[in-house]
Amino acid sequence: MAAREPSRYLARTLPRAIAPSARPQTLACRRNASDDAPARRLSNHLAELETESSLATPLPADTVKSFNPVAAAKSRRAQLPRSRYQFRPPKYDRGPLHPHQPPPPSDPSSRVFVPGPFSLPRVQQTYDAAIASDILTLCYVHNPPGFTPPPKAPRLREWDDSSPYHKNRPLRGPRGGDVLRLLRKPIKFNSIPELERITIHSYVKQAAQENSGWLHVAGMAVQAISNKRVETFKSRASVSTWSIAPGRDTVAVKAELRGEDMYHFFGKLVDVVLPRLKDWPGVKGTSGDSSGNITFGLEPEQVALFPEIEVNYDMYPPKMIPGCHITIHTSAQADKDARLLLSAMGVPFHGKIVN
Amino acid sequence: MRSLSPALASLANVFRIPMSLTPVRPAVSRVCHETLSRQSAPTTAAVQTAPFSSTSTLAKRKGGGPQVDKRITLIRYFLYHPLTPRPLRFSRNRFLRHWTIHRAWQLFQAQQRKKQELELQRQYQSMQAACEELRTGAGDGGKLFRVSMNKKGVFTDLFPIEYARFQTESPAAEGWNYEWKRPEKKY
Amino acid sequence: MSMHISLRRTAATLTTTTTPLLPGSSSSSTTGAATTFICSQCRHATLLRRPKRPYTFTQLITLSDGSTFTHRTTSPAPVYRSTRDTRNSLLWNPSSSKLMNVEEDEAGRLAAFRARFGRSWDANSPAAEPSSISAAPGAKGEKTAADVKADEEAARAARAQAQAEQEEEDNLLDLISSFGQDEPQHGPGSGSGKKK
Repeated sequence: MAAREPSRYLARTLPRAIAPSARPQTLACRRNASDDAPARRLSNHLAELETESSLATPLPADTVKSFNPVAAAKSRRAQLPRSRYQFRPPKYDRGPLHPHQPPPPSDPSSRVFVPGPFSLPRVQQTYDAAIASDILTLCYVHNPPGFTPPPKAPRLREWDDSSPYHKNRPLRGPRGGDVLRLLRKPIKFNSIPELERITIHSYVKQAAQENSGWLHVAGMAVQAISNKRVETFKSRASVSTWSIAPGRDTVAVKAELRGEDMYHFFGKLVDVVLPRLKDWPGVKGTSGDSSGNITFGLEPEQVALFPEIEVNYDMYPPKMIPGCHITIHTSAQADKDARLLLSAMGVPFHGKIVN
Repeated sequence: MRSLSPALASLANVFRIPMSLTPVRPAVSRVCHETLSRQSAPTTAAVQTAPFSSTSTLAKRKGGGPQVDKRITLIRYFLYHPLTPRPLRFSRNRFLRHWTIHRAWQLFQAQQRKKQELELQRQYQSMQAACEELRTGAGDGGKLFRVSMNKKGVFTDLFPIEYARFQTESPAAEGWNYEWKRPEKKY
Repeated sequence: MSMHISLRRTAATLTTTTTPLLPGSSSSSTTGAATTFICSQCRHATLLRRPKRPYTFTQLITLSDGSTFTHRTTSPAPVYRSTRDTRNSLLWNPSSSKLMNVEEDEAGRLAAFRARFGRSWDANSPAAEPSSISAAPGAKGEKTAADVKADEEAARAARAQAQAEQEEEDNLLDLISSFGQDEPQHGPGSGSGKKK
């Protein structure tokens, strides 16, 4: 009986699978990234839309008479699943070759589904309305039509063939250091720098020296200011004076913000928190990793100024509130573009500006 | 969380009034209250908190191990707390409704992005046309064009910080200062 | 189980050693944004953890100039009034004349002192100051008429003195600024050679 069941289903579904169709049936359970390409989606769906309302047009009489959904449902060869049927997603991801695949994360029945966004953050609105076009205008460089920039020297140097051992060697790195910097592309309408993500990172050395309570309080504080659950990290460096061994001690806490959370956090940081810091001159002009990410740090007493921590300050042990590093990742490839973006968004810089 | 005074707490205990102050999350407030009231011990130590404990309060206090701050205990409680609601299970019609709205929302967002990008492209191209006109058709040998292409101070002076005002949902009391000009830089 | 997962994660992502904050309650280690999917055969299954999200509220923030906005926070307070923000801090308004000469009076001590002893002590700022100090008008209402009269006399004397001082300072400032501004007027040819 049980052995016969699948074969019956197979016999039913086989003709459908064999029948030629526009999209291969085997891929129906998977969604490809190219399905979501805006051009394709736009063209398909806009063509399907009807311009007139279907409620206004009168129906022909024979259509009305022949409309019998109950009979249609009964005459259907393969019954639909019951309406009470509720899909239960698999608890484990068993790899791409497993027949029982978890639904995509955008599906509400998926176990990793996160609803939202629930608001349109004002930072994002301001960026779209004013900042993007202003940066575009400010950084515009005119090239006459037909102008081609002169070719630059290759960034990796060749070996001069003075020795027979130079044959087939990989190219040499740039002169003066072996780091290949990111190439800075000119700012055009499709490459205006914007916020990508914000990382809040806090290194709690007492978590290794004393107890894990420090880490938990730090995690709670970072979660409170960022609306995001934190991840913890083990130390990779060995600091013998703090008795921290690599791979043994869990010492750091990080929250990574994207999208709505990121914009809300940034707006709160700039408008409410940063002006309240005592004697804060601004972000250092030398900050940045030369690929468009700007970092600055907050002391513990400065972290305590966040309104979320302030509102129930008594629930945190006051000496265990962590300091943190806030890294603002932008889509710019050079620090100067990132600084231009951040200064348009209200982060003051001080000191000598080094690119 | 505001804790009740010990007299009130004992009264509440006698009359069996739930001591939670917020009716929305009773479990949370009860946990907070219990832990915190245990922390501020000395006045309420006489009240036996655990009714079935056979150890007396003094004996328990004598053999106390490492004292953990009660606030850390609370923070651990909330971090450990395993409750996450199960994934939503929709029946067919609800799922179809959700799916339709989701697709429509994605479509709308794609259109918005496209519109924004096209607007920026339009601005860029009109800038290009204007600069080309300035370069060739202005009749001053390109002097104005060269002045306009001067990028001095863009990446060192950055935007003036007064520019950075995010939009708000209601305006300020004194409104927007339209007379503001960028102050002359003193060299 | 968590050990298996971390092993697989390290194989799949980068060299970061990621473990959830607490072993029982994990964070979102399953979001595959940064994961480069390597289709190697692995026989174990990865637990798809339910993502944990803190509860967030919508909070209305009132800035010091009266503008408001809402945002999502974990703080349960429905309204937050900020006393110090970008609208009234000097670092964000370097060109604002109103904020330039505001005195450091955060605790209200100077205002309290003036309410008690009058304004004749601070001789340097007699002119039109009361409007810029928030606490002063409230304190003035409590004074008696005689007190006010004595106050005004003292203020007038102080004003005259301060004006004299101000003029001297202005002359000095004029001298300094004209000295600085003379140089570029020599002509573009000579000015361009110098380094600024």
